[in-house]
Amino acid sequence: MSIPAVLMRDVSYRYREAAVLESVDLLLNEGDFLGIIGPNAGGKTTLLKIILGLLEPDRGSVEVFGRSPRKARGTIGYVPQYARFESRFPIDVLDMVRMGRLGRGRREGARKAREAALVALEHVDLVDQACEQIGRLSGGQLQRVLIARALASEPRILLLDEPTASVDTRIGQSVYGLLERLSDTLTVVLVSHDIGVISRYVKTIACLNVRLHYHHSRELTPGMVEAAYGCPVDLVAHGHPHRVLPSHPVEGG
Amino acid sequence: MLGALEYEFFQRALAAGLLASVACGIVGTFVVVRRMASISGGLAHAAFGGIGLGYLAGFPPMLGALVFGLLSALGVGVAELRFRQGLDTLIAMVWAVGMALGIIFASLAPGPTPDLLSYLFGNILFVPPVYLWFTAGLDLLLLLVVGLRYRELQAVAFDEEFSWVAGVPVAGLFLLLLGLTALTVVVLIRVVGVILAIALLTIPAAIARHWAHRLDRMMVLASVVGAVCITAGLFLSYGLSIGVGFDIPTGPFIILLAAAMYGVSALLSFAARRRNRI
Repeated sequence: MSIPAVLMRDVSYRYREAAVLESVDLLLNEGDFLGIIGPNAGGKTTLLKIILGLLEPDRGSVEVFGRSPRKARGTIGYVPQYARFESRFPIDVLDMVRMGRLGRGRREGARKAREAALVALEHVDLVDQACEQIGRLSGGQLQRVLIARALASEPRILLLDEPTASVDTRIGQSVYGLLERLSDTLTVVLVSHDIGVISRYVKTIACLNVRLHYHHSRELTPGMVEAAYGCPVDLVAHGHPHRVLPSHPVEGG
Repeated sequence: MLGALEYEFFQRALAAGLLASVACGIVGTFVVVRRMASISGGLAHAAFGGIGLGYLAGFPPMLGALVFGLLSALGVGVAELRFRQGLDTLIAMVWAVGMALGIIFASLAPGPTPDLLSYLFGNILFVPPVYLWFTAGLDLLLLLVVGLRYRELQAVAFDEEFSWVAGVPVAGLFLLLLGLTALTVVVLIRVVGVILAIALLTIPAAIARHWAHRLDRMMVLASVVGAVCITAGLFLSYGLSIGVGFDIPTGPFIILLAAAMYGVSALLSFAARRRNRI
């Protein structure tokens, strides 16, 4: 048995008085492609930040490839929510993607870093935009730049926070298609509230609302969804490319 | 107007201004993109505590300013890294307390009370010659640091979280940035006074930001804009004084000139962006 990509044991995190995460256990093996869904403020971003080492859990332990998240820096690719960004910052696409190479230290020459960044841009089909200031890109392009930046670090695991929250459906599908291809060679964790679309691409799916409901399977059980969302199941089960819930007799109410 | 160049004080003012605009272009770029303008103001005024203490304890006031400035930078930096929020209030306190300490220390000092206000407003026309060398040294140091650490500094200014995840020493670089800001502010206090220093740290970089799409070009452009403001301000105020007998303090005149340039630049860039969009 190889070392798990992510191993979380009994992880809890509180913000002031409120529990954000409560006794979360998670085991991810290399090559997994996990989609985490859940309501807003359900702790999705917090969970990612704990795996990244940006936040320290109040209780429990986290390991990334058998090391603490802090020591695993540089092996994790991170795609943050892009709304967080100031798009008018004076930086062009190529320089932004090159940020992904910083973990290699300065021994890596400028030319090699540049080439690696261009390869990553090729993955997301944005080589032609390399010299554009980031504010001139569309939402979908910027989203792909964020993915390219994470890929440029040649990570062993890729964590994405709502990668399609701000893009239209067509771009969203191309982003997911890209992730599906990438997941052949690396471990991917994807957080979204876009339950229908992600269930089409991910290998396993989990629900998170303070507690994590995860059964290492691709199918959501009504119990998981109800526990996570606290609302009638059929609200979240409609209009998807394929069924994520086992059929149930009466639909729509 | 070019006759001004025959005067040694004018040559020195011009040299000081040009040297200062390089430092301000580099540091100001970070100040503007990282929104550290109030931090740099706070550090400048915290340095006054050191000036007063220098008078009281009998060591060079600018050494006190440097120590106070750097310690405040460290304090503010650690507070920002730890608490993230509510820093604004803390900076205002550092700002006021620094001034208060300076005034109290100076009043306790033996002999005639030194004129702290001359530090506050400074005067580019009376730059002590040795400060030309200090400013040149500061420029060299800044060029060296930015030359060696450009990518990391850019990354930290743009996206701290990602930089940390990628393995960049974010905390250290942030403190380095604050330390360099403090150092720049302290040197500039003596060269141009604290008010012109803050103006030169923010206005040229803000103008450059309208037009530059990369951080390195923004630094160069901000330095050039600062140099143009200072040169134009020096010559124009000299010309007004000689030509029409209208004496106008040079430092404040430079600030108003820069602010006017900012207004024009903002309008032009707004128009350019609209045109590009259509």
